[in-house]
Amino acid sequence: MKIILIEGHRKVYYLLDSLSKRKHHKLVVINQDKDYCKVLSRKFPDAVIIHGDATKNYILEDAQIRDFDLSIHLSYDDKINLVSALSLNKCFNVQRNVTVVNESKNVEVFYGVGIDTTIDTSRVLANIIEQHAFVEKLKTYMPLEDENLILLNLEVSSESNSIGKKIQSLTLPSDAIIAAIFRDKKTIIPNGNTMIESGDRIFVTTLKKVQNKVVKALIG
Amino acid sequence: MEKNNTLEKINKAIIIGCGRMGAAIGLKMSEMGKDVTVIDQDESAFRKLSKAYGGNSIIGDGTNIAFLRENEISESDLVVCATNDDNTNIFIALMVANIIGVKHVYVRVYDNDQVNLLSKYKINVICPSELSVTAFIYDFKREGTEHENNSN
Repeated sequence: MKIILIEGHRKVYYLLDSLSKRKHHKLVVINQDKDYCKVLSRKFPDAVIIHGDATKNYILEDAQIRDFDLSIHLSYDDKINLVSALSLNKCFNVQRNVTVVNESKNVEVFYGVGIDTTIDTSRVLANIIEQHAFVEKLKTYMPLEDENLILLNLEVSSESNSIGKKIQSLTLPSDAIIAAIFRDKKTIIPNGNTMIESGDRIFVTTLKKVQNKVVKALIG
Repeated sequence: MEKNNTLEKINKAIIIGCGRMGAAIGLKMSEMGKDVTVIDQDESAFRKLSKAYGGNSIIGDGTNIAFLRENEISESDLVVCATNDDNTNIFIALMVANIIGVKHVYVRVYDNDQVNLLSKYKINVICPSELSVTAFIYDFKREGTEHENNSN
């Protein structure tokens, strides 16, 4: 896949780190911080690192990113994210644009112009903190569509009441489904007869409104 | 004639960015008897407004959609984006045209590459460098014909 990454500091570093491990990606980075460009080009010799302003068409022209598959916009300035995403989408035929949105209220502005894959960083972070603060034994939490659907990763401790019970006998709400169980480095796709064991990591897709019941049923 | 009609229909105008352009357009609209509001983040920018200006001036961030709504932007028929930053102007213009649905949106952009980008939306673009070139060519041609006339 051909990917262009716009701005961002630590975010672009970690993304490059994980993306460059898969050799088949062609990666182009545009960043306004000259010193940081030097750091990135030393660390990621296979990526093309360009120092410049990605809201300027001549920089995008120089970067030769026409018809790329995906653009990722990581600036802390929503205006830069919007203008660069729009330029790539409308003028350089980059069809998929994923952008960070720093101010929650700006999400609708991005939607309004057709940039519909937005990551509302402050809201995502606030949600994760809220989940971890109120749900014990929660390993990870990921909001899916509209934040109403979530993916929970719960760890079954030795005190959990669900140990030794079959999934069909658990009082799990109907708006939740156990998608997978990670046990002894193996992934199990469970059915009603699967028994819960201590140390299991359970992945549940659930509606947000019943998540507390899910947590109670599985690890309470 | 068409243009005069459009201008007559405009009752409420909001100018974002009180630089030389914003202040001058604000004054013109106010002289024409329109309900005008000029918005700028920096209070000292309003010094550029003429004493004859009879509209409102509000300190605030024009990129903040909540702030614009508080100031009844949805009731305005004209918004002019005239801050000194292209990205800010484009952001505001797209926001008021697409989200709020203001009928007449004007945006000043210094970088003429952005004209192409905005041509896909119902936004009127004012590009100073393009206007200057047009004025230059016009003047230059006229001067040329004047010289020809003189030599005849």
